[in-house]
Amino acid sequence: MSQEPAVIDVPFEPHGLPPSVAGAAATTVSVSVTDLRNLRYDWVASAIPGRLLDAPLPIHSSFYETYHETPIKAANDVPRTIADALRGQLAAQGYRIGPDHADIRIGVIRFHEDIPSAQTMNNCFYNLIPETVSVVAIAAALVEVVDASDRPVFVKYYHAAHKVTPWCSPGQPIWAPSLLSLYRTNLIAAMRDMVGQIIGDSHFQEALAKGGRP
Amino acid sequence: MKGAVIALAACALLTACGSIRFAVPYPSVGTPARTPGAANEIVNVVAKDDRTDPGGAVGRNGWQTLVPSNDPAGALAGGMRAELAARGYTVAPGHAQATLDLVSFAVDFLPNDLPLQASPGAPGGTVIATVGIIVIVRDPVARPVFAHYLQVHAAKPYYFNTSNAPDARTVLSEAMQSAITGMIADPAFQQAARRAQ
Repeated sequence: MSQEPAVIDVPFEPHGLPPSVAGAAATTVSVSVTDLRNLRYDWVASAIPGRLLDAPLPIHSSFYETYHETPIKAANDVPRTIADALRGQLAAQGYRIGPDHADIRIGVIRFHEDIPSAQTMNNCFYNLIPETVSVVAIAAALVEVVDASDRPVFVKYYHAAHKVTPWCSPGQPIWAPSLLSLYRTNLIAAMRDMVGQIIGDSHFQEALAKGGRP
Repeated sequence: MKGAVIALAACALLTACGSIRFAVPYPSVGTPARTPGAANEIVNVVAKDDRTDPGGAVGRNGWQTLVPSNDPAGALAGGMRAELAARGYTVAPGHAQATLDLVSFAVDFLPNDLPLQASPGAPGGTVIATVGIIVIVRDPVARPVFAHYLQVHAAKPYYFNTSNAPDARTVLSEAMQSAITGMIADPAFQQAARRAQ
């Protein structure tokens, strides 16, 4: 018996608009994105330790299905959502979005949720073994800024981890819709944190100023 | 209830619940071919640990949580310095500066079947190591000339034992070495090292 993956949309949800940046109006930038994740089926979570999402092997069915574990995938194109988010935030800061000047190249490395194992969930569910249980959503990307001559002027790895703990209550149904909602909210928060780190980084802004003006 | 009972029973059987600290291996360097021109190039390598949970667990085999007792990023940077030296580079500061950024470092145990059937020495499943690194090469005035992300895996069968730390060490060692060799063998890395002198 194979289980259909659950699907959740993971949009970008900012907390308001970022403050404008001095000199941004004279700076033109473009954003391109590459998906560097090594995931099967675009999973963003499953009820197994999230590190498995990076594993190249298929998940053995008998063990996981016995424990009612289901992969969760994103309904939307996550790397594209991140690139669109960055464009929107940069435009809000006053930058002109267009080609031929600085290009911001985003390589999305990780975007998934680390969820405790089925065993931990069972322990928590039946309140047999007191454990601290938490869900951690992780977003990570390598960001490069290249100038109009294609020379790199900036490169940095950004990552955000958003943790919710505790989330498992004795007697709570394991696959309640509220859990999917929690995963979704946590992933959205990680995406927002990472995009916020990028646009708020003064070194990143300096690189845009250096590479984004004629 | 079934899952929890299984967990408790197997835990008692293996008497190995909880955390196991183990030393991350220092990647072994073989005898790589000399890189043409390397003798004229000076490269330094520094480590940076950008894992989500530095110092925390790298994996879990059912009831055992594996925690490194040493510094994985430092071990990888040390391995990279050794490999560069073996290829003929001079490893020293002042010229090309490579930052080895460790972004993922994990061991996953994929069991063949339910742990209920576990007994010491029985086939367990497959253990997989994942090592993800970003290497950024900068010139002497700190301009980036190269940035590359590389993720590698290594896998082997494992057997249920009171400790699977040796299995973790074996696959991690292989993955670490693959990451280092893969990065240094990349012609783009070699060109960057040359340009950054």
